[in-house]
Amino acid sequence: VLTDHLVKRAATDEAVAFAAFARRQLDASYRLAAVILGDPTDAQDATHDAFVSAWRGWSTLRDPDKVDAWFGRILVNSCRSHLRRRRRRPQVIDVSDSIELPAVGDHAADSADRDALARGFARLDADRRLCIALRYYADLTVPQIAARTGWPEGTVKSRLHHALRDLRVTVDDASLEDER
Amino acid sequence: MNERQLREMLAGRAPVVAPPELLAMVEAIPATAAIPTTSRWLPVWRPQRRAVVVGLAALVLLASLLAVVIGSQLITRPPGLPGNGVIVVPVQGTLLVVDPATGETVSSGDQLGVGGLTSLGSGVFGEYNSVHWSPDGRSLAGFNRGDLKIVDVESGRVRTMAKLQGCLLGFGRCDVAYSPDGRWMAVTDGTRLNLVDTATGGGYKLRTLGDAAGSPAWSPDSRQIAVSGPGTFYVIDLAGTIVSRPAATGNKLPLEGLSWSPDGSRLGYLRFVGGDANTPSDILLVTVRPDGTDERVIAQVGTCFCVGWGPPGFTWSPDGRQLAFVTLNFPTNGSAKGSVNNVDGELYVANADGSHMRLLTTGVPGGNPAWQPIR
Repeated sequence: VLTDHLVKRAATDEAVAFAAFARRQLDASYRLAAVILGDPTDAQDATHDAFVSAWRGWSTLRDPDKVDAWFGRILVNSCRSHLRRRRRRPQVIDVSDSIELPAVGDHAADSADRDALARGFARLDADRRLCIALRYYADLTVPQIAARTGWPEGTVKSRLHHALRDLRVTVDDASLEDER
Repeated sequence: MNERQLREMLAGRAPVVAPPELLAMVEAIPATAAIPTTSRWLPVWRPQRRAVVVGLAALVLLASLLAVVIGSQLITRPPGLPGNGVIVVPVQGTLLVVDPATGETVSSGDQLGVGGLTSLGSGVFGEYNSVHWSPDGRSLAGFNRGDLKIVDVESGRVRTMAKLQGCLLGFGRCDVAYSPDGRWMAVTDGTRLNLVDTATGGGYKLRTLGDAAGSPAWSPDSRQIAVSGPGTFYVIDLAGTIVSRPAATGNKLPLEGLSWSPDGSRLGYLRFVGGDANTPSDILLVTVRPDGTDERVIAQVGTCFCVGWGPPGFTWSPDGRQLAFVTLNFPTNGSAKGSVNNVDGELYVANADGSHMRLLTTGVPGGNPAWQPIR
């Protein structure tokens, strides 16, 4: 009876700890997923899948200092799976902020560039898109991205390089279109 | 392309918070997925500790309530500032300030030197735009064309918080509403719902809604925003998801004065019934549940040709016990179209159920009332 009680107590403690962890991580995880996937529903699914995976692997983690990095990898993998799953599905990309801060230079050109960037970002393949989001939204360094994705640093650098090149081409093409 | 633009584009794709249903789903995972075996490194709230914390929190809450009750007896309010604050109505570029207890016009025009309001220059806000109080009752926000203006009502200082492209050329009417927690301003420009960070002025588009998106109203918990549409309204969460969109009733004129009751149980607004090019629409003041059910017609508050006209408006008092609304009465032969002098507009207050309706002032040709929170 005592053993049963201890097992139940341990399970309850695990659930409470997981709930606290989930609450702490949820908003940031959902935001990153939304940036990567560009769709609130997909972001919701990917985030939920990541937490389900995290709960299933909860017992395998022993080092509390590494929980964020560990979950970060799970989240990135979840987003990657969603990106690959929908590769053939056409996406409607809704872009552009409508608000500009006062006293900022060329609003129209800036806004057009951001629109073109958003379109270009949506066209990137899954791996390049992940690299860009992790580098320029999550502010991770190349070694951190490598740790998060499990790719060699050289691969990360190469994917970042090609992704930025593709984005520049998209923006330049858009500028040419505007000039015509 | 530069790095700043790339970072801004990515940040613009990020919603503010996760939708509440996702939190509920994630919290339910331990109950529905396989239970893991033990690992003991995360801090755990033990039941005994929780009981102590809940007890302490209850004591602190009780002490705070007592302090508020005692403090409210001691505060000396500025002269002219009644218990629930003043009602401000934008009238053709100036602000009409009315004491809801007495109906006395505290001031209007350039100098609002009574009740803690000083020197609000005319022309700060545009002609047909609404204004909205900050949750602390110390500043008013509103639009002048595309500029989102914030006015400190004590110092009279005016600053431009942001610019909204949709309003620059006067295509759309721009409306603004502070979130009750003071963190955000919801801004509509006729087609889109945007959020502006009150701390930084940075903004982004939350959702494109199509024609007639306006009159934003926050839920009291600052987690949802109601926005008017053609003959209906949308309730949208901070992830940009539409939570409810009831079927349109009446005609397709956009609802006006959308306002969430302070207890969060109902939305109130003005909707329009009937009317055509020569006959004005009837204006109904109604309240509904946030999902659009259980509509109650509180009063018929006049008639108007409300296209291209400063529309009437509505708001709850900060304590939710009263309503304030502007009525309009256009002559039925259509002669008032385009002539403000022929329109009979009045500001009323009533109990929340519509009883004890009292006329506060006349000569209000449209405008959305904003009721100042207690400071």
